Amino acid sequence: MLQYEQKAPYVRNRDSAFTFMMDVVIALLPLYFMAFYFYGFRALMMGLFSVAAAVVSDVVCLLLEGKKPYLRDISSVVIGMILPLMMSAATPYYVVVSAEVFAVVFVKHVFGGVGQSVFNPAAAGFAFAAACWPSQVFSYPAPFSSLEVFGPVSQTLSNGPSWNLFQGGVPTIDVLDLLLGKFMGPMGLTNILVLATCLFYLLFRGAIGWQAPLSFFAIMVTAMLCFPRVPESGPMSLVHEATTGMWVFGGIFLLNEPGTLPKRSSARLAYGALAAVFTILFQRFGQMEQTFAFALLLTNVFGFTLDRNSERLLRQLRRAYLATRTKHSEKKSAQRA
Amino acid sequence: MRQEQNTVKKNLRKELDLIFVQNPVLVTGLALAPAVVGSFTMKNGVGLCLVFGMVTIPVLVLASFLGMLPEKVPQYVRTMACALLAALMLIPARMLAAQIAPNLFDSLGMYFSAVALNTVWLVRAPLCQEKKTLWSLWEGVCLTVGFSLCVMAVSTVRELLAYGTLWGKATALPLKFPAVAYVFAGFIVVGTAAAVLRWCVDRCHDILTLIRRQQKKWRA
Repeated sequence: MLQYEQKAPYVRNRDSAFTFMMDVVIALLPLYFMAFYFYGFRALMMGLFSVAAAVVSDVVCLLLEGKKPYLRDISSVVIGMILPLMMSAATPYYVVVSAEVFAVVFVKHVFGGVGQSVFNPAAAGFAFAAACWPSQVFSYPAPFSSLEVFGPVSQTLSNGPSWNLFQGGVPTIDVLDLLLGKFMGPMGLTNILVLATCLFYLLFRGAIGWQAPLSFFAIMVTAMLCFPRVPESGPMSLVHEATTGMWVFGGIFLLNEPGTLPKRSSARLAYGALAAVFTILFQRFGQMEQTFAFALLLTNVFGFTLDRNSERLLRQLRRAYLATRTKHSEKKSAQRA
Repeated sequence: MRQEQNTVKKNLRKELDLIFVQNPVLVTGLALAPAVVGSFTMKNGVGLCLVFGMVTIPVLVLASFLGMLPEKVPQYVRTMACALLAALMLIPARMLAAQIAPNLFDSLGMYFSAVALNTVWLVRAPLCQEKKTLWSLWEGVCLTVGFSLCVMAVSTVRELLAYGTLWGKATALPLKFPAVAYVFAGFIVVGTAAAVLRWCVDRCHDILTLIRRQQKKWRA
């Protein structure tokens, strides 16, 4: 019997990796529309520059590896679309492009390309940008401010509500504005209702599994409700954390990246839970206001181990079950005799 | 006589390979920790090379002397003697470092002392016990040159990208990547340098093979 080693993403239905990635692209489009609505053409240009940088560096890496660029592989487009949404709309283009090149060259291609990367490329790109240029990445313009499409932004930039939470304060923003995303923050992370719609769309289309998001969001919501970071009620803490943090966006688009996500359902559940635990720990003891990307990079390391150990555990459980069943049937047959 | 000369040539080439073809850091993966963590400025790089040379060369020479001891003396005693000498050599190394750059010891932190127990001499010292003193000395020099080349290349790139400076002096580089000074970037830079070295060695090997083939053809 011939056996072939198949690369991730492990798509088990009739859909291909292309359709799966197209679903993610479609899910990201409303977020770009909202970013355009709040910040104008600069948001779209950021996305355009990012996608262009990702595709160009992907093609260059493929050519250097002696491979032919495959048109139906749009993973670099997905990475290129995700990354700017986690940043401020006033972030200079060179920051976005540098982060993108880092993500594609050093995180995606160094580990072997699509489905082989150990770390999530978009999260690594964001972590790189946040470590290199924190003032540019975490300084936000006010919504509906007309930002210059090219050149430096002349509008006043300031820290978002996530900074207030990080410092132990309570953001003074109206709940309706929070739900509608009408406050200073990363350009694709503030629209919680749109994000929820994206999650349901991706789940409905089967582009992402339910296991990792379920355990991740369950633990995050429980932690936010039961142990608020700032002195306020549990539900308000949940609203503040969910609307201002990166974890909702990350739980939908970054956590479910097929290259780093475990294969087995049980491992996926554990993976989501581990990501939630790391996110909470990074939130409480981290040095930055948006720490989900760092927590995810740490979780990525355990993806393979979780897969292997869950398989071993399931096998042992199956053996134990079969052994008890055999004993039981033997006993019954002995009683009958 | 000719056979002896050939053996000397072979050994000489073998030791010289430690500079590029068998570079202790980029090819063999030895002494990675100081090369990755400590080398984020050129001054730090020079300090690391200095300490490395002052520790490794005497230890390898001592190892060749220890090889003359009777076989009854166990290996762990020999290794302990080497470690003791390596630790002792840190004292003159620190004094010399203070002469070159007063802040070098502080900026290197624990990596200054960590170089004393680097994996290069831990691996090579047992091999040097079977060599003559002069060959051990030569090996120490080649290893130091190989380590220094790697560390200086890595530290130059990291300082240029992270701070936009070279030996503390500003350059015209418009873009800075402060994260390159962090440890993770050290791994990336060392990995990239290893890939570049491998590519260069492979290409050189290809070119040499081509030249040899052409020479054979011409002779024929």
